[in-house]
Amino acid sequence: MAEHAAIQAHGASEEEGSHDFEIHEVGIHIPHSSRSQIWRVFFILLAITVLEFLIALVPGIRQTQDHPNGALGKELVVGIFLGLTVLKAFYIVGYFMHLKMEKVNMVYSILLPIMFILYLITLLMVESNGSLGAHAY
Amino acid sequence: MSAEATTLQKGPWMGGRVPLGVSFGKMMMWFFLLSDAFTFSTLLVSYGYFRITAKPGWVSPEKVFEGIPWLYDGKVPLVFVGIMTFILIASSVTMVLAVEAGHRMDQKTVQKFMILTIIGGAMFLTCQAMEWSHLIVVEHMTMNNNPFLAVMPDGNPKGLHGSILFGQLFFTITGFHGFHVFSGVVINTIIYRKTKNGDFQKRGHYEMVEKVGLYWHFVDLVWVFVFTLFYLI
Repeated sequence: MAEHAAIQAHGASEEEGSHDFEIHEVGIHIPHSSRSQIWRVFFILLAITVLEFLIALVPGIRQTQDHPNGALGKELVVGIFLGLTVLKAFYIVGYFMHLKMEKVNMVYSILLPIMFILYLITLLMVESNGSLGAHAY
Repeated sequence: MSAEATTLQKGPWMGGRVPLGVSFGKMMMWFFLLSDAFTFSTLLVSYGYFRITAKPGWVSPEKVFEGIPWLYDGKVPLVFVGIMTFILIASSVTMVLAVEAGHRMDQKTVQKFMILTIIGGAMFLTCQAMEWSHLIVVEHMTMNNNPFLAVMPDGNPKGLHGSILFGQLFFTITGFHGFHVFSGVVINTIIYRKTKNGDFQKRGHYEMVEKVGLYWHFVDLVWVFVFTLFYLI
């Protein structure tokens, strides 16, 4: 109930400016993003995706079955793709989900548990190198 | 005693305040999404593990996703999945525009963008149905059969099919993601109807739109990873 009242007050405060004290006390924070910012992030995401397609498809850029003499080696391309993916994830979570504009407590309670995923990735990558070629699936 | 109670309430964790700065519902949506991120990460990390260790080698994605399912058989690798990716990113934008309109209490604009988001989700699901049915019916890829040729580290031995795990992981992971998209479309439809009824206008805020927005963006986020790991690498 209190949170609804606070949000209501926040919605009204833009016109009246008289409820600011209440919101401050309860501490609910509603992040906004402007329309121009939303479109800017959309075009960034689009540009990154187009770049990924160019790397994947333009002959001679990456080494593939058909083009063994591509400029970029296999490991490097995988690294570039993963880096661009994390960049896209940053823009989606940061701007579309507004996490960048939340309070720092909130940001860390979401981001810190992600380290368990990184730990899992590390463990299984180490494991897969150790058993490389040992399994026939 | 009353003095003690006042002292207790002063700390940031002593009630009467919101330490994380978000409402209960939104915080719980975030924590649900965090748990969902763990679920997807176990699937995707095990995909990575099996892909590295699989024998015979893995298939080359630009050979598997070459044409446009049911429509065009030529060599336009990754174009169809590119369209799917674009649809999902675009529907993410319409969703965040609906959230933005909700902050301005603009009911008509929220309705418009919710409709566009639902259409985007439905289009994505249609594309996925086309892709799946083409793989199953035309290519005969199933959970126990991989018709595509393997790419070995030392060249490409003729006629050696890739690991059958490709089909299993592909159908499991894109299926799990597709089910999330489907749930998202259903939830978005419910929220659209509530918007149209004026429920949120009466309530005085559009926080529900924000919550389903979080879910929808998460679905888009997972697709970004699925797209890279299955189609690009």
